[in-house]
Amino acid sequence: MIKFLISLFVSISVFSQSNPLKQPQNIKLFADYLFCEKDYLRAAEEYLSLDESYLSDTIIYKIAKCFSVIGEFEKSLYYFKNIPSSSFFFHNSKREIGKIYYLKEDEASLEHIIADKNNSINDLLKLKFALKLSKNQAADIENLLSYDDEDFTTLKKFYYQRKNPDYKSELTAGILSAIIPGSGKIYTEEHSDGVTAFILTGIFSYLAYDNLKHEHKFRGYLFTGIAAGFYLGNIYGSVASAQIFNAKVDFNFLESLSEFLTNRNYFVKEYEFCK
Amino acid sequence: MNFVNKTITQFLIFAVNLFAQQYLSEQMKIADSLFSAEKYFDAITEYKRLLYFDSTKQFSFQANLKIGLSYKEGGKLSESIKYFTLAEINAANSKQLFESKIYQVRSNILRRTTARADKILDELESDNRLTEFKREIKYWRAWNKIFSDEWEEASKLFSQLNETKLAELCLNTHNKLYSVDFAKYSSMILPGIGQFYTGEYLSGLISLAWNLFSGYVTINAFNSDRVFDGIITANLLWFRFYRGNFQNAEKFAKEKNLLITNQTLQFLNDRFDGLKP
Repeated sequence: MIKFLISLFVSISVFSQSNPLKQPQNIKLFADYLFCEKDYLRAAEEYLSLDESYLSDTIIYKIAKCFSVIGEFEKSLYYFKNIPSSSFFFHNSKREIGKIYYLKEDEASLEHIIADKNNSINDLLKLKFALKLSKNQAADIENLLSYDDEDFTTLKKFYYQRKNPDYKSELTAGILSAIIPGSGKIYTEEHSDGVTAFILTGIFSYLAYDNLKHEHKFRGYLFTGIAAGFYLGNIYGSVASAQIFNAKVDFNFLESLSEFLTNRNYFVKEYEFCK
Repeated sequence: MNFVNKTITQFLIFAVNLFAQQYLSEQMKIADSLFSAEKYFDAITEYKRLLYFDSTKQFSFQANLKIGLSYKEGGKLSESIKYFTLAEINAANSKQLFESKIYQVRSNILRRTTARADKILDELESDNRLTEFKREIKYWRAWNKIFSDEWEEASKLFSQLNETKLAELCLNTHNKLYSVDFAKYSSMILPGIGQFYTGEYLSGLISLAWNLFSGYVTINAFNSDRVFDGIITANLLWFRFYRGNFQNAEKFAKEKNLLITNQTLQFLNDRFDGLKP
């Protein structure tokens, strides 16, 4: 009993000397709470305020994860790289590093970690595959086509889309509109624009012809000018429309690729820290 | 001996509780000092720490309110509303309830979700516990009218509260505003008038000229029995310029009104010393 009282007395004495809310154990508890509340910047700051002796590989991993989520990639890389190879988190930290290099489009660094035999190569290769696709360098990844799992199968579909994109030729669009006004727009799948351009150019050409035929020179030249404007504008518009169509193809491709990678979490495993 | 032991144990346990209380109060002071020093990010961290360790929830209202205020100062209005709502849940009396809800109103006004602000003000107005705050409720409703672009209404409400300066300012702004409908419909009657009304004289003249020209070409075609020419010119030239004319007048009126209201809001932000959202 006396021992208990003494220890209680000592505890109170210690308690009264320092702020218990700022004791390492409580800082860690609070940081864990912030992490689970997705208040990542504050969580990282709290973890970092802990003495080095408290920084287990789990905490280092969480710090790195916090910085990664808020886009502080350099800090995140620093902590992910500090996870020892003996750690349970080692392989996933390499995946996280790969994800950051992918997001930073840092191909050389991604290659560098792939070259390290200690790493989980396959997932990193998938990121390399995706990065090459996003940069439109499909020719550089033909050696990766032999890999075979569910993700690689999807990536291969993207590869073939990238290699044979559904582009429209700007030259064809221009020539078509020069021959039949509006047909270039129809070729680039702008159907209503194409029909409108055909009708407008036709009507103004007819008005120009009709007025000139009946010696109404002023109106004839006026409608000729308008018809010529529509005709030339339509050729230019068809070329521009093909460019826009191609840009849309690229945009949609990158969107789908990004959606696939986001759904697969960039091949990074997530741990249930907040159960 | 047993009695002595029991007494000492009770005293020590009481002391532990006392120290815990003391540290929570200390924590509140630390957070408050950061808040006063306008270090809002750090203040939020310390208030959140307090909330996390405050198992008795005695600081829930204050800490949540201050977190909300910190977020509001940092321009994170949606976050601020979340914490003002948490403060509302933890309000212990009608004053705290009013305070937390009125801050929700103020954040909503700044966020321009004025319909939501109006709804909260209605709730406050119909709450029998809050009859002593009628004046404040009306004051913030007037501010909400300002941000809803209902300047005349805002002026009336401020007048009822004897806030003469604000009432005058709102009325002046209201009087300066262009009538969007007048600009649009007058241009329908005579092309270019709406542009003249909004001070865009060159645009008004050009609009009038184009309409006269295309109108002349169209009417001339009909007069010469060239009905097809007339229909095509009317549709593709005259109606196009006519429609563009009144749409343009409407756009000018809206743009000018935005400029006027922004000037007033800027003035209120920079020079008005009273309470504002």
